[in-house]
Amino acid sequence: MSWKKCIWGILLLGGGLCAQEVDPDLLRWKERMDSITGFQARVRMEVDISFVNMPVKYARVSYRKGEAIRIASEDFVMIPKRGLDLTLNELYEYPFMTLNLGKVRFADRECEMIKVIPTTDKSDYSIATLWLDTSALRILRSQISTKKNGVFDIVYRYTGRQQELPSEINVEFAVSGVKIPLRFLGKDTQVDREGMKGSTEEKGAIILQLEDVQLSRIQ
Amino acid sequence: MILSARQVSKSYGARQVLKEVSLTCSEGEICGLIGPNGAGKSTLFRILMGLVSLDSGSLDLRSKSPKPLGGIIEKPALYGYLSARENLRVFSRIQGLTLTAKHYGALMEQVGLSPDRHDPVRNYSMGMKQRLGLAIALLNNPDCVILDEPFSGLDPIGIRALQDQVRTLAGKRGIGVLISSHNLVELGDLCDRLYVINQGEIIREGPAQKVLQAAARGYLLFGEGLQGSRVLNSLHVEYRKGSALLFPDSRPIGAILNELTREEGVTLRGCIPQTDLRTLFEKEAS
Amino acid sequence: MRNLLLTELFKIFRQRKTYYAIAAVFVLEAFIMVSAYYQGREILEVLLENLKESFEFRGDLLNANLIIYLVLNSFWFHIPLILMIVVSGFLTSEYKDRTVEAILLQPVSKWQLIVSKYLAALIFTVFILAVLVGSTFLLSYALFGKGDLVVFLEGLSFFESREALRRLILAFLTGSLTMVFYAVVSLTLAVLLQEATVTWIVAALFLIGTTLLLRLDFHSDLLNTYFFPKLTDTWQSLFYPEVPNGVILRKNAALGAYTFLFALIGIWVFQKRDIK
Repeated sequence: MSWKKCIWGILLLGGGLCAQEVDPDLLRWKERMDSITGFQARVRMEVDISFVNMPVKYARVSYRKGEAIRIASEDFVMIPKRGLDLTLNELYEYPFMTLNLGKVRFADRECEMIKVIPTTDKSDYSIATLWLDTSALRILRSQISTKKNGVFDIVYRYTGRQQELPSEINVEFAVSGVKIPLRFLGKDTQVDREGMKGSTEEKGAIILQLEDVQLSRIQ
Repeated sequence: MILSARQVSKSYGARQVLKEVSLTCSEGEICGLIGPNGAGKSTLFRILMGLVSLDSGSLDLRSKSPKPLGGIIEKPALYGYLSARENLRVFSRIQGLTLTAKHYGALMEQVGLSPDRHDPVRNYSMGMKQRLGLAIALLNNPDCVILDEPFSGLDPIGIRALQDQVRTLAGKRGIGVLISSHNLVELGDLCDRLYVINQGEIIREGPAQKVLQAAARGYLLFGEGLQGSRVLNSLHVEYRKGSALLFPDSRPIGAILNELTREEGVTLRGCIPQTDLRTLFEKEAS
Repeated sequence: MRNLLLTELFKIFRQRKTYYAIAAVFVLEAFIMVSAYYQGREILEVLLENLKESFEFRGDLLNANLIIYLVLNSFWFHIPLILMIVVSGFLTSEYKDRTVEAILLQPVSKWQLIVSKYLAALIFTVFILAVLVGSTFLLSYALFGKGDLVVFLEGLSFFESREALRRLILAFLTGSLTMVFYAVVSLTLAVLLQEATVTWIVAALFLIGTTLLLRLDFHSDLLNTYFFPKLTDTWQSLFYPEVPNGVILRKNAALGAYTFLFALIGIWVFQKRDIK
């Protein structure tokens, strides 16, 4: 939304901060991620939404630099629209500026809170917030406000100190209840038909666990 | 005696359909049950066959056969979508009989049906259905067969054929036959014993000819020289072409016939009692 | 008794109307499968609409398992109606043709005859259902392939293909008990009413009444659990995320008891009644 950018622009000018450059810590993190030319992993997906009962699903995820992430599964799987882009390349697709809001603590780690704001209307998100662990040079959390699909709040957990890719990704989002087609022949005695029309949003989540990760790097 | 019913009564609500009815039937005997429509013939037969319960009275069946009684109640009930052979197969299998194709063929021939016919029974004439019904009634060699109005719907040839079969059953196989009709002609010369039922009561019983004669209002005489007979002209007589309907006075018919033939030399070719149905169906004066 | 039962089955399968009934079941099944396919996409679109904001989907939910589930839903009304009409005809046609009387003129007892009719009805019902289930599974898997099953039952539940197959089979088995119940009821109605058209009307009313009573709240736990209309949709319980096995077994046992009771009523009345 352009009005948001105006406010940020005024704050930046008013704060005297230089908002045209990419934050150096973020650049360092980006360089580290750019050294990864690809990876393959088995991803375990566990959906946590109150009105959805889905068994744990498995899929194979593969990434090659410069290409979109590929996910393959024999079963029906629901892939979160955000969360598997571990290099956050989607944020860099269009020109953006960053704003460092200073140090904060998250998951017992000291992080830099960095806002990423696209400078063009073409991007599919309006603003993103990153919690960057500058000492381990890893993203611990990201919050991406998409234009069409709401806000995704993603928490990354790592097992080893040097690990570039997270072992667990917790993606939270807002989701409305299920719309029930009246002709769907199911047991519908408990259906709240009024609630169906303007159902309130609630929080939903999907927990992704990467197993058997195989990384390829620039030599 | 194979079958005996004693003092059988049956009511449907306030309407009493059978009042203390008693009858018997012995091996090789043909017993007739005659009565107007609604007299209770079918109800009595249903009670004898165990389809309807009796309110009072008793039934006695002296037979060691696995199927003491066979019968047809009103029209024969058959599976119209099955052939004659299949109908026989169904009715024999349900009573545990395992008959061969040859047996079925023999049974069909016995009642005058062609064993080569395989079309469904719904295509059969009433006469053929009656024959098949009789074949089914005779499955498992019952000692007594009950036939309820078996002549209805049959042409004269069919009636004659059925009468012959009944005689064969009784005469040659020693089966007791209990047969009902509302038609005197059909039963008259077939039965050994006759029961007359009206309004649920047996009102007359006895040897068939005796029962019929007791209700005879006249005699139809056939012969030569009848019109000139002095004996006949002294009695109440109606002359017809070739015959004379005689209404005798108190003298027995035998004596009148004797006079005609011996004294007047009249050649008699026939003397048929004309049973008055109204009289027949009236209760006998005790 | 064995001879009587075999004869009953012989008569059933020699009648044209039996094959009309089987054809009707197939036509119904084909119709439901075709309409399930065309409406299935629409249904899934609506069901998953809100989730599409947060997720991309991989895999096709419009598969054999969903089609089979939609066919299973025909158990609500269509199959019991066909069954009740056909099964009641096993007896009403014999009353009309007076062949009940003809059979009882042979050395066959009333209770043996009527018990063999009930057993034949049971076998016929199971046969029709086996044909329905077998053809549905075969055709669906051949045409639409396997995949996850999505069901809306107190939330959106997804079952993996193998689990879905297991639940669908158990659901058909449980649903078969309901079909047997309706078949037995229709035969009992035939004993009580004897005339074909009246029996069909009352059977249809029974089915409609049961379907309506199923949705009614009786404000009593006992009635809401064990009153017979409430037992006719037990198969649906197999699609809860956690299958309440104990409840299903108890409900099936109760429905079995009701089935037996209706059969006993029919046998008792048939035994007592005169054949006029």
